Amino acid sequence: MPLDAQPAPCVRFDGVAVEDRGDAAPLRNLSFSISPGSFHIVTGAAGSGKTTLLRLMSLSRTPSRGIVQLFGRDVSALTLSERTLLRRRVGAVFRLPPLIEHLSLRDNVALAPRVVGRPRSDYEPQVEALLAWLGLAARAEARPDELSDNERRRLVIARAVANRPDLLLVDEPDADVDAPAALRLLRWLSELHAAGTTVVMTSRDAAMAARSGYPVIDLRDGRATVLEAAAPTGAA
Amino acid sequence: MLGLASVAGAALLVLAWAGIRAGEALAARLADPVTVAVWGAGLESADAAAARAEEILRQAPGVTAVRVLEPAAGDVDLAELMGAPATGAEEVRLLGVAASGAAAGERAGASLAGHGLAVRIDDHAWPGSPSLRRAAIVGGAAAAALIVLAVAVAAASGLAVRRDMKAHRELVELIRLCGATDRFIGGLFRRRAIGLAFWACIAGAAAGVVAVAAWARFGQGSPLDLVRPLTPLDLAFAIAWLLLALALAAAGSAAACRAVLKTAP
Repeated sequence: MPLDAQPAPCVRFDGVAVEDRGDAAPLRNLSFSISPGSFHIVTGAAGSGKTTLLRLMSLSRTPSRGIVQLFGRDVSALTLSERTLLRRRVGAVFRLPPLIEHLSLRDNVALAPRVVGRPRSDYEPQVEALLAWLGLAARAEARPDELSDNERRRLVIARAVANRPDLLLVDEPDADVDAPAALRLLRWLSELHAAGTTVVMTSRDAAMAARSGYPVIDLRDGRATVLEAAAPTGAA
Repeated sequence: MLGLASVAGAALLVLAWAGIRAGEALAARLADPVTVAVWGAGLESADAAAARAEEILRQAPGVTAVRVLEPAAGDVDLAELMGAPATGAEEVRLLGVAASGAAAGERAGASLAGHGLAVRIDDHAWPGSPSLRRAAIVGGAAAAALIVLAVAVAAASGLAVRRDMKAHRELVELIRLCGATDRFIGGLFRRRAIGLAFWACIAGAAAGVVAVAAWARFGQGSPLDLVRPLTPLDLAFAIAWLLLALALAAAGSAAACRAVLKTAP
């Protein structure tokens, strides 16, 4: 590869449309790309299509039209096994995430490495480190129904990053939690980003997104506008 | 549904196996081209009637050999299977007749007519032979019932898996997001369905064996009396049903898993 060649975008949308969205407005002609190692915040009102956007990126939804590329691959041309391999490079945290209530916190986090067949000796120390990093180590044997909403969200983040994904998608981590808790979650995401993970998160808080210093994809009336990063102004 | 199908399936396979065994024994007794069943009428005993019929048949045109078969248990049932009216006769004698030329049965019947004998003639070369026709009907009905039961087991397992996967749609999505292959996800639901099918089939097969054994013990006078003397080996044929049902349950649930996962994005 020539020295000045750009790496393939982590995510690329080219004329993507999603029409079947129930009562919500369809998404139209979305075209943007997300570089590896970047941190993007997708903003928009409730029902503007933020979660749909993340679902397209996590391969859990297919577009009505247009091309979605992930790590340089057109996802519509993938075989089943290629889709599975690509999914393993993506961690996704959606709102109201299903946790497996009869499993302990530790086993919930270990679920991701287990389903891809990693040996226990490989993932166990990592699971412990993740629980400690997110402040859940003391409750590793608890069941999810014993946790607060904020703790549940942290648990889902831990599970999403347990396979060390290249791309982390997080749906409204700042919703339904108080400001300090939201700030802590955003700091954790920033730490993951600093460690090399590409992060795409959604938020309804456009002001926070503008202050963050990260590029923003603003969804309005079914269309996306990419606002380049401005200098951060204080704490996000 | 699986349990009920298993009761019927196990009972049917046990009976089918016993029927095949009984059929082989019958085939040996019906080895001659024509079989004549004779029973006593009025004051004449079955033996006397058989001797008289043998004599008449030896004189009949085209008949090359006549033999009186050694009496055996089940001859009365066999005569009924050949279409003999229910006479209540306790004894029946069977005569094997060999004849040259076509319509040997009709010729044998014609020669016996007018002699005051209670007889029934079964021409095994004739497609309308009552014994062959009845055997074909019973065999066909059993095969059809077995196919229906097999489809029911596969469909019940498939529906159970489909319902289970739809009820756990979020879990399926979660495991998929974690990077699990469709084979892995399908395996979780298939194992569960096959486990349930296993216990349903065990219970059903056991109930089927008990029902058939009870029928064999107490069910005298039923249309299936010929296969009634069951052996332990016959009853063990319920295991064949169990294996068949589990294979069908596995196939049905695997197909349902594939269909559900294929429609998911």
